[in-house]
Amino acid sequence: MDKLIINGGGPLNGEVRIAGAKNAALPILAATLLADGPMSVGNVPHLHDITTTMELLGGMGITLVVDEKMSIEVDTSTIKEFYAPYELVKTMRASILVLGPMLSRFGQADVSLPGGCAIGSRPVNLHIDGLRAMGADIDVEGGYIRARAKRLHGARIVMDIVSVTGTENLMMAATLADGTSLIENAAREPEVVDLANCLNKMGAKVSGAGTSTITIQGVEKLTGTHYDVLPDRIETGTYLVAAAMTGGRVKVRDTCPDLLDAVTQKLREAGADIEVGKDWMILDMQGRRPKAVDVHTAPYPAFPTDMQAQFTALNSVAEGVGIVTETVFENRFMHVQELQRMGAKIRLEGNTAICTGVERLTGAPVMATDLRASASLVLAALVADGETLVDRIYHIDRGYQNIEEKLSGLGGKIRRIPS
Amino acid sequence: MSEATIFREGAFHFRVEGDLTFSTARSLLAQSQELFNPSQGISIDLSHTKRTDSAGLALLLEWMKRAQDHGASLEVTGMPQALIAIAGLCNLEDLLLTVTSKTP
Repeated sequence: MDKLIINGGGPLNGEVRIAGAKNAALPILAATLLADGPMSVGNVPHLHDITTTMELLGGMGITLVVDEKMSIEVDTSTIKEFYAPYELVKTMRASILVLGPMLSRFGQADVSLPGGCAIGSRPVNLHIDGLRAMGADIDVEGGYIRARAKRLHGARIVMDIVSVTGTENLMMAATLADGTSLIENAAREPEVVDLANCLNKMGAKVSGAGTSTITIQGVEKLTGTHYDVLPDRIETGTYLVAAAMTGGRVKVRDTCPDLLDAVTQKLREAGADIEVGKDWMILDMQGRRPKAVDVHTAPYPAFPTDMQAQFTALNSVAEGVGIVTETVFENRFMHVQELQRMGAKIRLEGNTAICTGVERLTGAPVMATDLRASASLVLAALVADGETLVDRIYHIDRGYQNIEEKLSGLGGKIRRIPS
Repeated sequence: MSEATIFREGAFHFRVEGDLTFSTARSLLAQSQELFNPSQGISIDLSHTKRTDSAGLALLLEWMKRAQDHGASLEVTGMPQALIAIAGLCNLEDLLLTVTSKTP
């Protein structure tokens, strides 16, 4: 397993380009199954889950070509199999996103249940129940969801919990259904909106994306188009926090500042000067130490749970006491123990982390436990005295494209040790 | 419709002109089967190619495999940067660099 070695030091300075959002790219690649004709998807991040999705589509017989701008061209006219095998689905739960579009366009889909997901658990049931409401005949047997339908019909679907992939799967399925579908209690994340924009560019009639009620008027067919995936708001936020923690000045470009209001507000509270353009942001800390901020995670447009760990790291070195409350996921403070090993003063009380900022952290061997936890450890290491070795960085590689190259480009002392 | 041609520049030296893409890969493979002697080492100049994509990369890998199967050497000059970038995306950059020569 690769490791990162980071030597804490001075402020980060410079420019960094933000990649496309993986959580938008994955559903959009799944949406190519709906296109009658070749389609290309641009601004796709170079991440393992994207390669897995290409392998998944390629395994079905679909023709995939990566062009020299790194756009992925997809031609579904060569499809032979309507099947997502366990070997791929177990490595990437988002594989279930092919279920809705494959069933809606081709009338059949056999998709493995995601690994570790018990039959009857809510996340998978949301997809299945919604498709059944649209007329699909679905059995779950042998670890596979076997779905069949002549043509789906429009339906009113009330999601009992807010689910991003559930909303996306059903929205895609509804685009080719006979009649109008209504998804209520839909996820409002920008990645859902991006998928809706892509579907509409393909000829779909989706309205209300970004609100809790999405209306989809089914059409006879969708056509191929080119679509550029929206920038990654969490990667953007992570580099801004890195600049704030190190007292530096960083410009993030090719991003979408509108998607980061809650994060930007907290960074300003922390003492950062932030300048915003159409597709760029500059955070300038002018060498100051950040002030501690209180953070309360909630679904979009509130403060994102995917930025919680980074702000916990920021509060660890900030002036004062910051309270971080996690309301979206349970057990999402795995990074706290590792930060404590670096000298952070954090007290956990249920879903709340009370952080008393210290002047300096100390480098230590630490272990990444999940994607965002890993990012927080890298950020902490950038301001720690001495050397930090971050182990199990395959987590961070799932969400951050070339993180060591980007941070090195900003002056960070970071290098990868291959396994 | 894009086109591509392999020209012989010497006994074991070849030059590709045109696109190295999905639309030309099949034709280039057929041309190479007539021109290349897989049991002898060859060099291929790609500096005159225009566009490339992952199908072009796949063709290059096929040529590498054939050379390897016959214990022969393959050297590529003028490797397009875009092809190296695509190889990077596929985690094949190191493999591609084993046949890349900087000398034309």
